[in-house]
Amino acid sequence: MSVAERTDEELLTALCQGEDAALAVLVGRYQNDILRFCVHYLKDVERAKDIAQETFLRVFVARERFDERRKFRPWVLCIARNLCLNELKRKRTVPMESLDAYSTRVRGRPGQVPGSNLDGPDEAAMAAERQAALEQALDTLDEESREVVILRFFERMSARDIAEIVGTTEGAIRTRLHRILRTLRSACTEQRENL
Amino acid sequence: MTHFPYDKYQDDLMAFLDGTLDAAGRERLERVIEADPACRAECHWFEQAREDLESMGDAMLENVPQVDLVEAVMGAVVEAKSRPKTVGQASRKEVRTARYVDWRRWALAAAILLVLGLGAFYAVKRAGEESTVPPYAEVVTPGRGTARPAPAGKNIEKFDDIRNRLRGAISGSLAPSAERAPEEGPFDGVDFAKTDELSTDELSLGEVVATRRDAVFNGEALGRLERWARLNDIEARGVVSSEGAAMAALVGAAQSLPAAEAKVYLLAALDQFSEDPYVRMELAKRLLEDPESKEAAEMQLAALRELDPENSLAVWLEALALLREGDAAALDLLAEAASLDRASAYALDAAQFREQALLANGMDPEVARVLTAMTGGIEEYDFLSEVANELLAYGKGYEEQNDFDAAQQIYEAVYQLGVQLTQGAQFSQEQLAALDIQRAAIELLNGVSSMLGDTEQLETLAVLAEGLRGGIGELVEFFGRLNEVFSQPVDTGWLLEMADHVLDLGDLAIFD
Repeated sequence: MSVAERTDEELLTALCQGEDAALAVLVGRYQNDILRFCVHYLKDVERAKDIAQETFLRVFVARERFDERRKFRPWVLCIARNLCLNELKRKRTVPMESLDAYSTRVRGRPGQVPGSNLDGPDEAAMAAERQAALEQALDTLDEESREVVILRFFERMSARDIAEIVGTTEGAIRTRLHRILRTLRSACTEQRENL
Repeated sequence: MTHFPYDKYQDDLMAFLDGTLDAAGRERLERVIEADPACRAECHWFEQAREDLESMGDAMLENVPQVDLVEAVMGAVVEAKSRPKTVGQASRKEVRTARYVDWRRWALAAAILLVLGLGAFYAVKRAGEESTVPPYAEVVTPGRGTARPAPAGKNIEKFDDIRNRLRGAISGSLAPSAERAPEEGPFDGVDFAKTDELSTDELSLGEVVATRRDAVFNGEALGRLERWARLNDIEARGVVSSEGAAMAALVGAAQSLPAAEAKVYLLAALDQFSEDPYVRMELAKRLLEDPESKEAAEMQLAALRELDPENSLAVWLEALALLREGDAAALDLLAEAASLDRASAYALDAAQFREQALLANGMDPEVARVLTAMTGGIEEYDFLSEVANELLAYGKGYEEQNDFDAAQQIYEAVYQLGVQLTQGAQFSQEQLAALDIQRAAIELLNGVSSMLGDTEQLETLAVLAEGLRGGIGELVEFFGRLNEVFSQPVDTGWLLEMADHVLDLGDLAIFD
């Protein structure tokens, strides 16, 4: 079997046995996922690139500590998350940009969804309206809840993977997600009523 | 927030959104959705929100470029592997700046361990021990205490091991006079075999002094002194239930009672000692042992902070309580605690209350005074080590999860706790705890910094380790002088004067 055909966990085992090429495959496999993941936290591509690079170095440093019963992906994301949170802590003087502000900066104007695959202008307008409301509602969430939203919906992770990354149980994440969605729903309803 | 009858299906609902709900679950949920319009509406909204949120997430990443980090990462790995004593770790700092000097880092790390080790100085390393670093407590003082359980799932064997090895360990080689036999004195001729059988109210000053002299050569003798200086639980119950016992004696006796009983008497003592920081601290400690008394403990710690705002220990305990709950705010509280100047576990007050309990139990007043003076700070050593031990264990937990920054933050904070304790110490045992804690923190920081290649941090640690070595040297000298005193004939008058002095100012001041 070629190096590229091996599973992540097999590659990590090979890395532990001194096969450095295994790390190169893992980096190639996950570098863009990790970068995107870090961008969600840091809102800055250059910083995210640095952290993504450091994440793989930490994988190398900590390779012996990898628990073979775990999956590689949540483990590496856990490392990336810790590095991102620490980076945010270090840069605490620069407040975390709101999701609304961030999406506005990235996309042009609030509520606009470029490249969305919606059927017609009416539906697109409705989606834009809904998303604008959601964006505002997201900014009322505490940081922990926003992180769960990012992981679950922006990164499309399962509750199980999120639980592994943030160090809790799958059930706890589901309960939290349910609470968050209800909070968002109630915030969106309130916004609509206030219009 | 409104609750609905279908809330019990929230797990199913979330699994459904996750796409992980099994067929039976889907069938169950569909029945509920069909029967309950509110549930149907909510479910629909959730699905719509999921689509919208996913679409928003995609939009946010539209401008994120594709990267190729393979070369940079592998280059850093190769560089790391080419270093002396290859550990193979590299850090962002190394990749970004590539301006560190390899040999210097490793030399620094080794120098720190050498300074901390002190093995060459005292040669106390014992066969079969894994650690290359003997605990200061082991090399400078007689031991006592039993290791208490580590927090579940935390790897703290090394620091706990120090405490295990304390029992029965006395380093006579450290006492300048240890190699020569003690001279005859007024308290000699004691049959040590018999002293074990004595009840505390039968003890004489002669037995206490002779036992202390014996302790210069025999670690077990110190254990005997400790036992005498502390009521057992039966004696303590006798004191607290005796009519007319002074409240101070009850507070002292509470030290020997299990938390559930102790807190009753300590709470009662607050009427008389509401302004006494020690009583508040003791009560908070006991309340913290019971998770159900958490709020009451927090109240006592808050009161303590008000009574003695310069003492950081209350903040450390609050931070520890938060760590136990997994509350991330603990790190901020640790930073707050670390920013203060002084920490004290009130060993002097504890000794004074303990003396009252011994007296209430019928011990001869001179014996009680001397015994209390000789053993002051021992309980606090245990307590402080335990607090630091647990904090460091959380740091190790973070380290195991590769969160090196959080781990370093905790280790640095614990080092500060050690520094603060040196400021607040009145007893040599407190000073010892302070140094032990600093040593353990530096050792862990050294490990992380070496791994991350943080040369700057290693340089700082080298300076700190050197300073710590000075502190250790002073304490070694102090214990040596103390042993010297008890190796020679001791005059009763001087002894009582010394005990008064110790219970007034602590033992660190006795040679002043």
